[in-house]
Amino acid sequence: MLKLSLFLRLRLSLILVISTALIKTNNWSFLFIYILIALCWCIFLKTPIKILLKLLGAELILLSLMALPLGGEKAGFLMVRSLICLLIMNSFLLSVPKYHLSIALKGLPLPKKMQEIVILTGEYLEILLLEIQHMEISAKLRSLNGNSNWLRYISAAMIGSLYLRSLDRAQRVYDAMVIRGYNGTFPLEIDNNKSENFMLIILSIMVMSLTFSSYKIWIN
Amino acid sequence: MHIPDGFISPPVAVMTTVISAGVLTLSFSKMGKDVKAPVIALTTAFIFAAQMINFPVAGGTSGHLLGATLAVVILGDPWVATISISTVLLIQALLFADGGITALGANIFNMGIVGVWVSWLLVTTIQRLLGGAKKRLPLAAGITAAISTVSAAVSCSLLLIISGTAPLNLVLPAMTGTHILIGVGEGLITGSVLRYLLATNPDLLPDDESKLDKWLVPVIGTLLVAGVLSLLASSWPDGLEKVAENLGFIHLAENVRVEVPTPFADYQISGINEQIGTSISGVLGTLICFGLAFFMTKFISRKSA
Amino acid sequence: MDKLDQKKSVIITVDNIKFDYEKQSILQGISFNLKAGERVALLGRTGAGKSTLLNNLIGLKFPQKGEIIIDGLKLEKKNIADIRKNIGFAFQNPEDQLFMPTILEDVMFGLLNYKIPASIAKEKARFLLDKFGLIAYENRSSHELSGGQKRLAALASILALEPNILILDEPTNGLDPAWRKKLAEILLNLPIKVILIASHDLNWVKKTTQRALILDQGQIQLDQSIISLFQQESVLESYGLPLDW
Ligand SMILES: Nc1ncnc2c1ncn2[C@@H]1O[C@H](COP(=O)(O)OP(=O)(O)O)[C@@H](O)[C@H]1O
Ligand SMILES: [Mg+2]
Repeated sequence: MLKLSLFLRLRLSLILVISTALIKTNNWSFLFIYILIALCWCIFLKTPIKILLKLLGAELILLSLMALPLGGEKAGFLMVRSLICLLIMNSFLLSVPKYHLSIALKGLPLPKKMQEIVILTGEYLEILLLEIQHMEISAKLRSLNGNSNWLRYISAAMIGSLYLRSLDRAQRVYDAMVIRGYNGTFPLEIDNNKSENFMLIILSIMVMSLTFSSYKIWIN
Repeated sequence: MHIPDGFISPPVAVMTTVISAGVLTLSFSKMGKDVKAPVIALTTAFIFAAQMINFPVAGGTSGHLLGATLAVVILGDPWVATISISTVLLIQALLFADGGITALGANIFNMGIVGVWVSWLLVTTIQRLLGGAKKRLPLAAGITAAISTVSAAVSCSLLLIISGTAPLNLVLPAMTGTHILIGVGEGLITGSVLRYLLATNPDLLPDDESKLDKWLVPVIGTLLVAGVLSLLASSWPDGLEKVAENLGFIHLAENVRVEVPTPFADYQISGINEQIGTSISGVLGTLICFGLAFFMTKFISRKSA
Repeated sequence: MDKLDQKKSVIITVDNIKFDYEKQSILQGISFNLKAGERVALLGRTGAGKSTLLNNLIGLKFPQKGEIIIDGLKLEKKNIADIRKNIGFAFQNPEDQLFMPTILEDVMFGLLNYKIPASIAKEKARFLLDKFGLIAYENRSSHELSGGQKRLAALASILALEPNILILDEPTNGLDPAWRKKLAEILLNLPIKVILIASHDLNWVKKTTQRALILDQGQIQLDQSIISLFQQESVLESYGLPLDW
């Protein structure tokens, strides 16, 4: 089967999400086209359905809290449109191995400085989240009746010491970068695959014109 | 407060994306030269991680830290704080499908720009109002955090309203109501985290601010209170009852409601729907009050000192 | 002539340095020389200040008193970039040294910073990853590696720059016996002028270095050949370094 690179998958997902989100409100026929596209995307990426459904279910509750008070057709449309976006994005996320998300961040079309910060943040997020887990566990182990007392520990001390630890680490990472010649510019080598870029441009033009036509600018 | 995809109209999406991209570019050029990328990145990762810690709000719901005020205080630079919060939102949108891709500009606008800059305007102002000592910082930051959270929520509601997604009388009270509660949580956490840092590593926090001149204290105090009240007033075109009723706080609401005199109280911005006018003028009033208070603390008293 | 030669061959001079953290005095007057061709172990109990001393040597921390001269250059702010070009430094915690999305990029990081063309940098990085048994992981994130593999990846990223001077902080932590052996072989075959290794791993140090400095109570208590040191078990024990433990 055709295998798309991580970057291409990310960019395609982004394009699909953007064009879905911009469909004209209450234009159901175009929404259905995007439902089909999203489902194809999800099958193509071999998304694990069970996990996907769980994720979408949780999101659905949030979305309906936001949309339902509006009532009527519009609420329905907003919800479905948002769900399609979530379906596309989550399908992509579930197709990426756990630690490769920060690798995917490299493929974002961002200015250099921002990209540097995004990449470093992605790297260290992993470690800090683990740290939280450890703190949680050790706090629970130390508290007498387990879960209920955990809330007392999450307080200030936990967040505060998390910050102190991250700051310490930031300094050491900076030192390590400086020792290896870092002088403010981040050397990033991004594979630029010409045929992939070409494919990407063609596809984005296609979906974008689909979205534009939902506004019936050319018809009538 | 993360707006998902499809909830804001294309023009609003484009407008907020352009604004946010512009402010971010500006932030990169304005931030201090000696700010190290790993320090921004790790503070950002820290804010992100701290957001994962939930705390109970009321009635079984839970809130979590937004972190705008915390970022401003520990980074000590609103430009860098904007970069940091924007990065958090970017990663949440991309890697956690939390907040829409097309709404990223809007979310950055609400939390990374409004939230951060309100925090920046208020925190030193309030600290100086409270006497300026470093040990007042946690309290000042706590109050600031609550206000900035509500401001961000109001900004978020306005974007939804301008998009035509939700009617004013529904979204504004609901958003503001819940975010007042969340704001209290935000304030408590921000304050106590800073108190912890003050006790363990005071060097990491900014130094004492000078005390305000005596005559400025009542003036700035009044301005700030007026700002907060006009913010709240603008968010309640139909009164607090609705939210309060839903949340079962009806009695509380009775006591809180006050007749508020603000410069924009009866002013309608022409050409816009009447109710939007009220809330926009409320927001403007707030900004003017906060801005004035900030200006006076920053410049007037420094000259006379 | 003889004297001049001797002077020339001194690579690192540490002259009576003192270093305090705010509440605690860690280094209280440390002096030693390291000459070309020497492989030296820095021993001492946990908390003796080994890492602190190494950080001083590469200017991550500056001593409050005394001076350090490396390759004829005095260690101070204006020389630091030049001095560091020749030094490879491995942190005690390898995670601090791996910050790029993939380990291949981590190894390439320094090379690209020094403007080596990307294709050459990549080739070199892959060669080193292969040497450290990590080539299968080149496009993986460092979070997917075991503690020992992280250690090896960090070492690869340092050796990529072909330093003259190598300073390692507890390099064998987390490595299995096979890799401890392999690492020793790799280090012994490097064309490097001076190696300084802080460690508690006495048996490994015995096989990789010739001279030992023992740091205790803020001072170098002992400076002698490894072989003679290992004949004085009680001395080692008194500095918190019991053999065979
Ligand atoms: N950043 C720091 N701030 C204050 N004290 C520190 C810091 N780092 C280390 N120390 C203290 O300095 C002493 C020496 O630490 P270190 O050099 O890491 O020892 P070693 O590497 O020999 O185990 C320890 O007592 C430690 O508590
Ligand atoms: Mg150490």
